[in-house]
Amino acid sequence: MDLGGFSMFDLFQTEARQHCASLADGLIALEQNASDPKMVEPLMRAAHSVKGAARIINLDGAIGLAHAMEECLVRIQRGAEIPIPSRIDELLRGSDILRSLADRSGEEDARAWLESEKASITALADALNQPPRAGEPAKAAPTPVASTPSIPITAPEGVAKPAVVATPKTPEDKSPPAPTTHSSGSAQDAAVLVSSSSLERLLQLSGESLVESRRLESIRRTLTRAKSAQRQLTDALDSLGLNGRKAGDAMTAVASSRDALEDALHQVEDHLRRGEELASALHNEAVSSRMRPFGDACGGLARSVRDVARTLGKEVRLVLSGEQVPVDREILRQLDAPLGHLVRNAIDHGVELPDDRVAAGKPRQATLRVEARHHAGSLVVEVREDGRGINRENLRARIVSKKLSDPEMVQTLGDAELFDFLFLPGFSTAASITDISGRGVGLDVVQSMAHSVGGSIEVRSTSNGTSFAMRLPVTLSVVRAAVISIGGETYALALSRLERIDRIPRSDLQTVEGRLTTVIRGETVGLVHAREILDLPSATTAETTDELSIVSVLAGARTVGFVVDSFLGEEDLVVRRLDTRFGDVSHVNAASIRENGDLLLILDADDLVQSALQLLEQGKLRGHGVENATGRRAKRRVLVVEDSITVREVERQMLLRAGYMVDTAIDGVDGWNAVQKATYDLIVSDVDMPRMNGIELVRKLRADRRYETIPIVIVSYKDREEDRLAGLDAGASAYLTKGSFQDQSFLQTVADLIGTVA
Amino acid sequence: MNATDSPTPADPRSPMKRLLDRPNAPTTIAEATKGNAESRILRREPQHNLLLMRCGSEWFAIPAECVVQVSRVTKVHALPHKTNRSFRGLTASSGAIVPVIDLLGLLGIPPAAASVERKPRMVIVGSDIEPWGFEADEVPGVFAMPRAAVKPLPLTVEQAPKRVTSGLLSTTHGPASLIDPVRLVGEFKNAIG
Repeated sequence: MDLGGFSMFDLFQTEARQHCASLADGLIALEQNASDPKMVEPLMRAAHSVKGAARIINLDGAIGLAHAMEECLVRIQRGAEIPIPSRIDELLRGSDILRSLADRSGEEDARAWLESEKASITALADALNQPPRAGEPAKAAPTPVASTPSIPITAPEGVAKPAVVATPKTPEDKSPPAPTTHSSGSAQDAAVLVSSSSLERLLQLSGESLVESRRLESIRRTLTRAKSAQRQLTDALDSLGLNGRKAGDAMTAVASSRDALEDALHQVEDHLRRGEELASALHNEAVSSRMRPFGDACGGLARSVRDVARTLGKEVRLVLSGEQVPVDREILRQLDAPLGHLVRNAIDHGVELPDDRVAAGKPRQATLRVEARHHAGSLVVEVREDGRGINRENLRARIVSKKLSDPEMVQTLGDAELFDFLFLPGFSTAASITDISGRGVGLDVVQSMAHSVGGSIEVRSTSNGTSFAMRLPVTLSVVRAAVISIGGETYALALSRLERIDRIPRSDLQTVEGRLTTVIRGETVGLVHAREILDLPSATTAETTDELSIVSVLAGARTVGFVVDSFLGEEDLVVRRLDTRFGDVSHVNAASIRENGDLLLILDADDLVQSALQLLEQGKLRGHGVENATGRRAKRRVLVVEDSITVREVERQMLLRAGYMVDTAIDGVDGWNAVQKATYDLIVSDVDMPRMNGIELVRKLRADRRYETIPIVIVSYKDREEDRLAGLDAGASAYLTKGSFQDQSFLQTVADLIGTVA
Repeated sequence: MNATDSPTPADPRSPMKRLLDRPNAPTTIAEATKGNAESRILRREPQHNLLLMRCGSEWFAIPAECVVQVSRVTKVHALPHKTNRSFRGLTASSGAIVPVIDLLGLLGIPPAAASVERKPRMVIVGSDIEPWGFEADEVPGVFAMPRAAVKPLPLTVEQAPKRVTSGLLSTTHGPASLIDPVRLVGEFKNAIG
């Protein structure tokens, strides 16, 4: 275990998070299967471990709480106490508090938080040390803990029915089995702490060893050439027909050198094969070390299901499957919120109240399945319940009432189109807004997560239940991509983002309003040069060929064609994120190292499309074939950096009316980012702004060769001479006060610096 | 075979063995320690291990401990919207993705005369985690140099805003500037920012 670089608090965090997760899961399992004393033991150990971790850095309140939890669990194990729901509530709250403590930013913060929560923590520890309040299991009012971020777990008035088969059981009761099957702690795949930089380096070196192992190939080729030269030599000697002892000696020498060569070639070939096998196995293993079992994303689900069901007065059994299915670490991280939402959504909207279920001839307790599996090269994560199904008529009515479609049209929509409305931001089918879901802010998040990683989501619903299935890439570390050449260099675009790749003869090009287009499969596609968007020099060779390579990328329902130099093939690329030193690089998603050891850049298709459309709109993109058609200077473009929305709007309107093109930014950092992405003729900036003020922005711009000559006008409320000097000293071209809006001096200054618009 | 006949060095009764087993007197140990320790300090103290290299028409020396690797020249890929006269782009080196700086462009060094032979090398400096690369026109190797041999910079260089050197050295290849790695990486960061 590599613990270098971890502080004692980091260690506490890691320990506490791990053990609190197993506590939460185990407590819920215990609640449903109280008869099994074996289930208590791991919980005691977890509480004990958190206590030990807290002791290392002397977090007193936490030590006391963990100790009380441990003691309480000991009583449960000895049979001195039965884990009734209110007791489980208390233990869960304890685990929440310890978890919240572990989520603090640092040791100081943790101590301060403990101090502020002291009263409630002590109260909880005391409650845990008392015998349980038997007789009214679900109504026991727990001590409120204000700042624990979990969902409230006390049932509201009138919904006192315990959820999730929560009737207290006697030790003899051996009825329903534990609803969740967790394999946490399985020894075969124990996780260890490894610093991410070390893992990254491992990946780099394994990739390099693969590249190096292939270099032997050139030695093999040299040896093969030597072997054939040797054969020619033997043939030449034979043809001379020499006799005698010396000739015999020469023939023997030639033969033995041939054998030696043969031997060396075999050895090299053998070495090459084994080296390559080993290096690719190593590399595959290093790449797959980014994978984690799906179960890692399910840690909080059992808890969430219990709490939500309890709050809504529903009875739900959670069944997890595919917990061992490997999932890319990054996808796993992003899956957390969508999965939680789908689960809450399923219980809130899908599952009926127990009495309604019985009336419909279903078991009281609903079954919620969360399943991960690999299918056809994708990861499928499905959330499925056996509830009433989506009411299509209600959904249609809601679509009409929200004016998203007209009544006739909505009747013609099939399931797929109909269910698509569920993912619109702000669309909710809940009759009333609840705390659980139904705020309409969830399903669109689920869909956008799936889309952002190149996946999709599918809904199926019958009267026996509804299923939401997310189809996601198995890994983000390896991407199947089209490798292309732009401006003489190698780039790649993920295949999942491409509509098609074509080579078209130059004669198939047409212009529409002077912009380049071509017809591909009956659709007229607008073309733009990829190198123009990437700001790269033109490649002279591509210009002279008779054919153009076009990469078509989807932009909503339409396509945009990017003209590239050539198409080099398809490859599986190991994705390497660019490090933070480069900041945000427009149009570039990541880099990759090819099998020959060369580097290529993976382009961001969405970003390319967006820039293409933006630049076309602004008349900044010429489009192929119309380069000389318009020599006219494009409109002057001004960036307004101002945190006050009112002032920003005043400036924008004034400049727009004067005929300038205007972009806005809300503070210095935003302004700096905007300047990286587009070319401006002038920048107008306020001084007092959050994150980066105007003076800092001017200094930063002036320190950079690219921007040292852009005119910058500061417009500020500050009108003292020293403020003015500070602005000009930083490098501003002019310093105006906000009074300048009245007397035209603002527009006059802009005009003086960059001219008026004809 | 003759162990039983007469005492040998392996025999505990052997006088040689007894001599060797005798513990050293504390004074002897102290003396030996003093002698060894002194000579080590004398050997180590005033040395600099420096990688000598030529970039354009100038020679530079950089402390060897901040050099990660010197390798054959690798292909540099431009980084759209970022590449400029000081920043050439990215390269792959030992499996790492390394930003490549144009030292001549960054420092405004004139190129060498066309007649001077180039033996270009990619020099990677910084650390494994945050490597930086630049191309040198010639890298003769690592030299040990007495620290006392470092002369101060001329005033005009010392006052320059983008200075990356901290002193001057004379080498067999002529005068060389001693690079200050912290300043160098600072300027590299500015070049790609």
